[in-house]
Amino acid sequence: MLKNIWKGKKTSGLIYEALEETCRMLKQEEGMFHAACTALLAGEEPGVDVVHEDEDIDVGERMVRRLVFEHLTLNPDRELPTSLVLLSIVHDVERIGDYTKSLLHLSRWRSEGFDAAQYATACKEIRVLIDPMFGKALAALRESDSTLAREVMREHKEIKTRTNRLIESILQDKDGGQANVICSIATQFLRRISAHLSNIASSIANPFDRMGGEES
Amino acid sequence: MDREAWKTALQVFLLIGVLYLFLVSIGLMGAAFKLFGKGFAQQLVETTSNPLVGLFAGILATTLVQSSSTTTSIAVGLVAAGGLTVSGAVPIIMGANIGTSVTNTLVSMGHITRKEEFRRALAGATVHDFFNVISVLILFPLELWFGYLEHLSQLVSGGFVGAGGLAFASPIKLAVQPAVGVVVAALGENSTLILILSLVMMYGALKFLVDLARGLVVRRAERFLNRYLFGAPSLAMLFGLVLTVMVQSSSITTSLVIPLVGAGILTLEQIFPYTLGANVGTTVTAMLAALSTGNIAAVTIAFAHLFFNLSGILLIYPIRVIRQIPIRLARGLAELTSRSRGLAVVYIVLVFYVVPGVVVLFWR
Repeated sequence: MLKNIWKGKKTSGLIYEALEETCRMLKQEEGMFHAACTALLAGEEPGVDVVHEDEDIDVGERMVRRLVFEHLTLNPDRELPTSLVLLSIVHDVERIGDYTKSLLHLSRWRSEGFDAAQYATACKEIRVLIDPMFGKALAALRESDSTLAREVMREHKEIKTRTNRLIESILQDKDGGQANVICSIATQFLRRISAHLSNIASSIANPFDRMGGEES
Repeated sequence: MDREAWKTALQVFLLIGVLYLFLVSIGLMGAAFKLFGKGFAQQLVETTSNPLVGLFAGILATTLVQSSSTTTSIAVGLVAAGGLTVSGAVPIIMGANIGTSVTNTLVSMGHITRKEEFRRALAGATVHDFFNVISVLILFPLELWFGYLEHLSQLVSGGFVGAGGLAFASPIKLAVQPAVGVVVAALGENSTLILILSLVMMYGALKFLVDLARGLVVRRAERFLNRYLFGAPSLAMLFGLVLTVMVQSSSITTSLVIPLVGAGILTLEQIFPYTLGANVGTTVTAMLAALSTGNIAAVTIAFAHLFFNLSGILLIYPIRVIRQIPIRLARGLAELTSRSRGLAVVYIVLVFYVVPGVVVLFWR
């Protein structure tokens, strides 16, 4: 369904603009995620004003909503499913921005001994798994590529299992200090980011009523 | 050509055909009144000689058919046929302007179940009502005392003819007249039948014309709506004008933005100039109808419609304090009716149906 919008970009009007904006936001978040993870997991300067960029993402979400609403007001009988899908996607995109910002805020609590913490490596490994999911989700969105979308969903499933296991281990660790608390919260945020990327992919691979669900 | 292009080509072809039918209906109306004879025309002129009755008849007729283009086209047709004087038609045109705002007010009622949304939507709709009412309150007395619109329009329409002429060579009339002749002959010059056919044809053609134009234009206009409505007021006004000229209905263009106002995406200040542009754009239908008659009095009435709207804008829009009057009145009414939403129904029924109906019935 999104394929038709890309194909008929001249005729699809506001919906095309909304889709283009959504893709721009997702691309921007890839950089934000990289910056926030660098700050939290490597203890380096993020190099990007993640908070400011998240505000930009929020503005983008409002703009997409407005474009979709305007389109449906003028042409209620055209691209209705696409419009509803887009509203769902842009909400997921906005949530990714929030969790990325939260990762950055978490980095303020990072202490010198974080790198040596037992679970920090596991967090870094999960981050490495999530990184390429941004590009894949974006490509799936741009190409309406359901194969790529399913791949993202499968990767999330794997991340979900790993993060669940990791959180369980941290909670069972009775000697955990501040670094473990940070790892536990970061894992939860990383899992949510992966879940929202999977939701975006599911809007391409799954039927409308199963968006956000598992691969069908 | 792909399927979409074929569809568009067919729509354009149909649009031209329906526009032609509309112009033929105006010609048929003129022919019917000519066949009724001078006595009938005289009677009609006397009936509409009270300007106040004309004004409220314009409101009532437009409210009932939900199309100011139908009312103004009938007025143009009657003027061309001698069934209505220019001074008798001007108040009807003014009334049509008020009556046409009922459509977007009715559209705003769709939001009645959500209080905040309804408050915004009703304000967005009634700003059009208040602007038209204020314009009438200023220009109606001016017209009564000085014949402001009539003289101004006669001055401009005089440019269409040679010295002292009552008709002019209109290419539209040349295109329409053969079809009118065929229909009149086919109906055996029966004036009543021709009049009924012309009215049915006009109403049907206008409705179909608007539907077709909406299908053709609105879909393509969405990008422009987004660009111009959020831009400078002059651009919003121009956009309202152009869009209305294209869809031939100010009701359509003004109603389109009501859900956007209701949702809070557009403000009253943003849609106000767009509404005024739509008011001017809607005068094109009467102008087309007038040009098809080849009658200078009909063209005068079409110009009166245009100048009424332009004068209203010039009187109300440029000065901020005055511009705020319709906006504040609309907000006030919306505030009041959002507390007791039944009042909105009372407002519509009273202003658009009961008051005009009572005046027309008992004052004629």
